[in-house]
Amino acid sequence: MTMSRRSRVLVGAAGAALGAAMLAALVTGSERESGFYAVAEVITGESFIAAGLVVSARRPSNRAGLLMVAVGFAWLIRDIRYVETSWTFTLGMFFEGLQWLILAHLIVTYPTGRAQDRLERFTVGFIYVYAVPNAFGTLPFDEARDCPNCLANLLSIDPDPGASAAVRTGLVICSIIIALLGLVCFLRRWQRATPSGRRMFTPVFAGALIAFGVAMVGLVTVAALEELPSGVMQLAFLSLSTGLLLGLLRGWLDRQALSQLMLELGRASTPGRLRRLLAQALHDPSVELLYWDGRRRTYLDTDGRRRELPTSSAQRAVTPLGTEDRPVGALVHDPLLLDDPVLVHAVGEAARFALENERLQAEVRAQLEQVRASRARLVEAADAERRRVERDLHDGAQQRLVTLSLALGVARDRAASTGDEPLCSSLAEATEEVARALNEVRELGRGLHPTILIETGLGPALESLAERSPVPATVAVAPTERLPDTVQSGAYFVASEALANVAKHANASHVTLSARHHDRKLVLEIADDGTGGADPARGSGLTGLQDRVAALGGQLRIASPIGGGTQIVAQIPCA
Amino acid sequence: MAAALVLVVDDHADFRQWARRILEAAGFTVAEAASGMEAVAAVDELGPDAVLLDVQLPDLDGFAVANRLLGAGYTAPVVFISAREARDYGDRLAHSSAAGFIVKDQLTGSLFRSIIERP
Repeated sequence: MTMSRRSRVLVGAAGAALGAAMLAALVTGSERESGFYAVAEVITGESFIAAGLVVSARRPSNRAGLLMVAVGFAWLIRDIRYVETSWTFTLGMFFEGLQWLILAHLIVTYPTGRAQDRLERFTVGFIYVYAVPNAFGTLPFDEARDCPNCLANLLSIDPDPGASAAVRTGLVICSIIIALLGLVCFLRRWQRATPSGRRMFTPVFAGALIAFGVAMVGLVTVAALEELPSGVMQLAFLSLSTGLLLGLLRGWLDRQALSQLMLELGRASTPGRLRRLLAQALHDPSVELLYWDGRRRTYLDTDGRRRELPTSSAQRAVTPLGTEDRPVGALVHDPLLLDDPVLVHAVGEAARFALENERLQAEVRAQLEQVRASRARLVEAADAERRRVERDLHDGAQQRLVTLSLALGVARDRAASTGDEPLCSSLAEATEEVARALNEVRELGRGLHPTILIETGLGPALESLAERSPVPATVAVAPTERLPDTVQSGAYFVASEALANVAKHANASHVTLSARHHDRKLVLEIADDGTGGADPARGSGLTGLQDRVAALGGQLRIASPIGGGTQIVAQIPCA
Repeated sequence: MAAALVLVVDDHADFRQWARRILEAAGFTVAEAASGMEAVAAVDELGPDAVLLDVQLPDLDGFAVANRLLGAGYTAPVVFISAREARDYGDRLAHSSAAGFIVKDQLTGSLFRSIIERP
């Protein structure tokens, strides 16, 4: 049974009206009380009604709110006895004590408001069975008050002090039984509760302790002054209502923890840490965070082990994260948390957000890795293709030019032997032309894939580059060991392109090459003493170098201040 | 005195043919091999007076063939030959046991003879 918003407004209005009426009766009736007592009396009843309505609004499935409202009404309605008629007096006496019985029901079933086992059901039943003799048992035997200003007990049929005392003794015994049963039920619930659930009991313990203290002070005062000081009972009841309210509205107090959770989610770098943050926010150390593995269509725990999603029970509850067709994960937690769906939903959403974020980051990382691997494969494929073309050139055109050159040489020797000088001269010119063509083919082959790189490694290849550079170049440092093909090939082409740029744009008089292999990376530096001002954005081929180095997982930096020469530094990882 | 036997090792038949003509014109007797393994077998079988060995072969490269011949006790001169230039091989030529290196289009009988007869 839940209360709609409209019902809560109506109940609240009824409670306020009843409180106002009772306040009027308390201060204007013939047995009028002091103003302090009247206000304390009404505030006590209203506090239960208000607290009950708040609990009902925050936790619609929790029946404790309804019980608190009932306690408040029962507390107030009994003050009807102050209205100046005998029947209202009788009605007030009839309701006297009902507030204690409902309060006992509330404590037995705290914090859910529902009896869960046989003992609790028995206790609640006993409480309401007891209510009947409590209401009807004493009034018939009470003395008819015959004082002139007293209101009459309309149910008094057989005034008999002896019978009245006997019934009262029986009721006191039953009250003690109820109190003991209530205490047992309450302590059982506390003992069975998880650390999260126990937090709800703490304010009730505190409230009960204060109520007990107030009652003790009251009793001592009664012993001394022979009357209960005004407002003592109300103060004790107020302490209990406050404790109950604080315990049941634990969720409100958890907002701060939720805010903290949101702040710290970004720093939750590991699944274990995320689980701990969620446990803190929910105040449930037993919280488990399960991840949905879409590929294997199963849940995994924070250690990556496969887990079956438990079915919700009295021991564990499951809150799915994400939608049915797109699950993200699940929270497995204390079922008591379901009493605070707002908190569980908020924490669940925060967890979903974190998991989604984590999943998206993993996807982006995977895609980046795919792109990087794909780019590296492209570079490798391009290198292989260059090598194949160079080989074809070597085995095809170059060999044909070689044999042509040899044939021309043989023909020239024959012409010389016959003394045919003009033919001999023509054949010599043709041989020189073929030699030039061969040189061009060789340069083309070196540009495609230099043989020296394969034959001797990067160091000699850089030396060879320096020797052929139009601008005087020296190799300061070069690795003597062989590096992975892609690394030395990438470094060679960076050096080759950089030297070509120097020749075309730098107006330099000297270039220095250096290549150092350490800490699992190759650092290649090409520095000239030219005019500087090189800008990759102007399409000088430097962008291509950056792309090529990046494809190998490296970085290329260019420093080229105007008038200060150009320095290109490529760092290429050697995996 | 019989003409010196030269083993020409190259995977290009056209080159072998022209090399044969050039060397025979210079007074050498020529035998041929088209791969590194063939060359090793031919040296073992024929015991040539010199070998003209292409650096780039389809199975073993020229350096590996030269090393095998040296390992087998063959001490006659081995001359490397390639369509590429000597600088394309860096210091591998200098570190090899070869008597010399000739760029293919520069091959003449007199050049070859001068290398193999170099003390």
